[in-house]
Amino acid sequence: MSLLQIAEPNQSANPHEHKYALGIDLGTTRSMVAVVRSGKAALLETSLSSNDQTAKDTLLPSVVYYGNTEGVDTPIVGSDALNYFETDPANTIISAKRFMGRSVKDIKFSHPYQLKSSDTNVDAMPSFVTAQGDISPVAVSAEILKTLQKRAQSALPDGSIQGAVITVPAYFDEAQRQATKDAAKLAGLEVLRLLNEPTAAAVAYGLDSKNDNSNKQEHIYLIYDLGGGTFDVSLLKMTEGVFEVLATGGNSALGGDDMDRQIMGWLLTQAGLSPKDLTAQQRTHIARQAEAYKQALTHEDSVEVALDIANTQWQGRLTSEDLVQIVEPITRRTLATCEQVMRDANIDMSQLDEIIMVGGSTRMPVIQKAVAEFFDKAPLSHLNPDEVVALGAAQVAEQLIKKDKSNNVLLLDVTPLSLGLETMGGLVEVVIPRNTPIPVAKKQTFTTYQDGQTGMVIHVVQGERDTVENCRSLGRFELYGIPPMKAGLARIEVTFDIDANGQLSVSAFEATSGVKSDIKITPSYGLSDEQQEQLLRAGFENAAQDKLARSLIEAKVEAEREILALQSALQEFGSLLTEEEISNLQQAMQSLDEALKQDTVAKQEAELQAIKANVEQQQAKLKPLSDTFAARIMDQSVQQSLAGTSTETWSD
Amino acid sequence: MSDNAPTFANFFALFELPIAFEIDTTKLSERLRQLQSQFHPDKLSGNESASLQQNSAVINHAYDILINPDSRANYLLELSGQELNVDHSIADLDFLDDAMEMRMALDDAESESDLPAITKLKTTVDQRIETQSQRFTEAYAQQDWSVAMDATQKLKFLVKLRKDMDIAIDNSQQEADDDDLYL
Repeated sequence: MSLLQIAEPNQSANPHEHKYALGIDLGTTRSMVAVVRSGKAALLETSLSSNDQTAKDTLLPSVVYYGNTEGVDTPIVGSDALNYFETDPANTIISAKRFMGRSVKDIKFSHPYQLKSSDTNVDAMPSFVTAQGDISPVAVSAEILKTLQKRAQSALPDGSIQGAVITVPAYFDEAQRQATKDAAKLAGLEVLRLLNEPTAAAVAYGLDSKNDNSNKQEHIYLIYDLGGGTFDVSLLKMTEGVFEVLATGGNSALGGDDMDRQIMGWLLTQAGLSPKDLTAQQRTHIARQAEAYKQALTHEDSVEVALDIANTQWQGRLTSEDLVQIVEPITRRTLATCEQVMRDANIDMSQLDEIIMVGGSTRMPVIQKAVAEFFDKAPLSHLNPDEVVALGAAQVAEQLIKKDKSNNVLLLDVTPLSLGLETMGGLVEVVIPRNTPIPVAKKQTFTTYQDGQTGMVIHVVQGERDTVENCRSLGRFELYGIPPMKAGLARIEVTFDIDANGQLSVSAFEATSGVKSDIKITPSYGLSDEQQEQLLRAGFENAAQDKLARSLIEAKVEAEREILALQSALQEFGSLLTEEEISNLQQAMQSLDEALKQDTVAKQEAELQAIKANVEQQQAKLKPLSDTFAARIMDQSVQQSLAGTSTETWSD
Repeated sequence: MSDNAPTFANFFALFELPIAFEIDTTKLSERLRQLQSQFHPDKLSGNESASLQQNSAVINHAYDILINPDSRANYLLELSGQELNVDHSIADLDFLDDAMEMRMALDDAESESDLPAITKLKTTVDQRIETQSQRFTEAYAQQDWSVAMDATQKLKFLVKLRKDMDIAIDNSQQEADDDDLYL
């Protein structure tokens, strides 16, 4: 897991060289792309099908067809793909978002696909078995992103697109976020930020409603975001120019799709059937019928319904009152999550200024009524709930590529899930609790259990449960090369960083001996070996040079961090060193800093090698000086860093 | 080297607050927003986004230390050159008895999913935190370090207990299973 370095390009004053950044909502059922032009954010249209150039739409169905009927042999995206769903559901991938970053055991809902797991890793994403081959959910999402990108490219000047802000549910975990990043990379899109959907919506609403008659300086908003497959709640405090997320919660497997399945269940029961009587394809067919009925009830109080399946015919009527009961398992869960988030933020219902509804499912009168009743307040939904996330993303994107960022709105987000480590007996010890503001860096110091122990395994997990098996496994970090010592003497410092995208990176080093331990990281989730191979073959050019440039960037990032840490340490603990030691240390830091400033853009491999060698040389000179310093600090603060921490074992 | 790094003598100075236990939380929040407006990666141009993340993380860390009474007390001791000896456990039997009772009451309430009971316990523990906070403030002002350290240890204990109560409340509200969701 490495830190992704995102370069922020400069804006040119020349209008012909004006750069654009996209806002992309990669939704479960529908996706869209928006951009800010002449100060206003707007969605970009495309024609709905290759045949009909007149019907245009801003919403792209998140559907990709991988069949081989009618001579098809490449993926088809959007409405055209959706047309195949009735006849060829197994090859028509809908709701790929619900498979992103998920392992087979995560997928509990009914679907018509044949999934193929990796032989080597049960936690990796399964692939869809299709007529065009085994396709990972990442590849499916990449097709959708490519289509959106093409849409943007045809609307904007050549070469003017600098990247995109892609939104994700606030409750997406590390595996789901990484899968989204991987899809963008596969589509050739530079990701400026992974932005949480409720925060994006808040931006669209916040920047929109500048006129406020109240004298209040700060407002507290609850964003209720119910989409096709995910649910998020975020509590935000907005002061002038600052959006601060107080707490966030949700369920990344709860949405409109689940309501369709509940309605399906009801229809079947009415008709005297059980879901077990049908095949997966049949269930999906009825679920889609159910969706149509659900949508009809947005405008009518009741609708005629009929079933003709498995040798059973049935007709009846579905009313709004029926719907309230049918979707109660979903409604109830969303409101319980709202309560949880208010508890986490220590906010009382009376302190809420507005409730904001986001996501297609919030159009339903059933949902609006339930929310209004629960909060005793009419929710706001005057911005199009389908579009508001993409619009907010476009606004944030525009800000991120500006040269002068000082007037940018500030988004202070949080990590939605607790980050922990496995301790004895498969328990979890939390290192970074949920709703911690990001970016955040936390250090934890460990020691050895046995005399002569030279290795250690640190298992990082994400989630709220207290046992490892009920949390998401993020990875196992193997540290080896710890110099053999008496048990309890080694000081292994592990730093956990969560960046502004909500993504984790972990680093470790052994402090007392001055010998650097090697780290091997085995991510648990994500693309399986087979999928990775496929993607690599699918088009990463200049692998060797890329790899070198990338390792150089990583070396630079690490070195920069070291320097910053040393500066802080000098301020706080400088008294532990002599004048001469301080001067030597600062000189070495200076030399390293100069080595880091060398330009690496568009350099040949040989030049990059030379720069890398120089950086490493300066690091080697700095190391003994900083290690001595670190040891002195360690001695002084070792008691405190071990306080409350279990210095228990991680055996080899 | 990022010349955008915030420079500060200690966390209180960073937030422009006096070095004391009693803290103006409004000022703390305002200052947090000001600092992040200055140092958050979204507000600054440049390619060193890793260092910028670091600055922002340091600010978040400082805020975290100051906003919580136990870490704030601990930090004040550090600044005064006093070290909290963590191997030294709390010896005050009355305190421990009281805490044990609260723990047992919490376990009972949790197993019965008795939300009102847990909420009531939270109020009790908040009172205890207030007591120890006042004790710390007085001891700190008089440089009575052994009392200050004792109060800090107790604060840590109580804050953890309070967190466990929050977890118990969360658990009591959990759905038993997802059977009615997945057909």
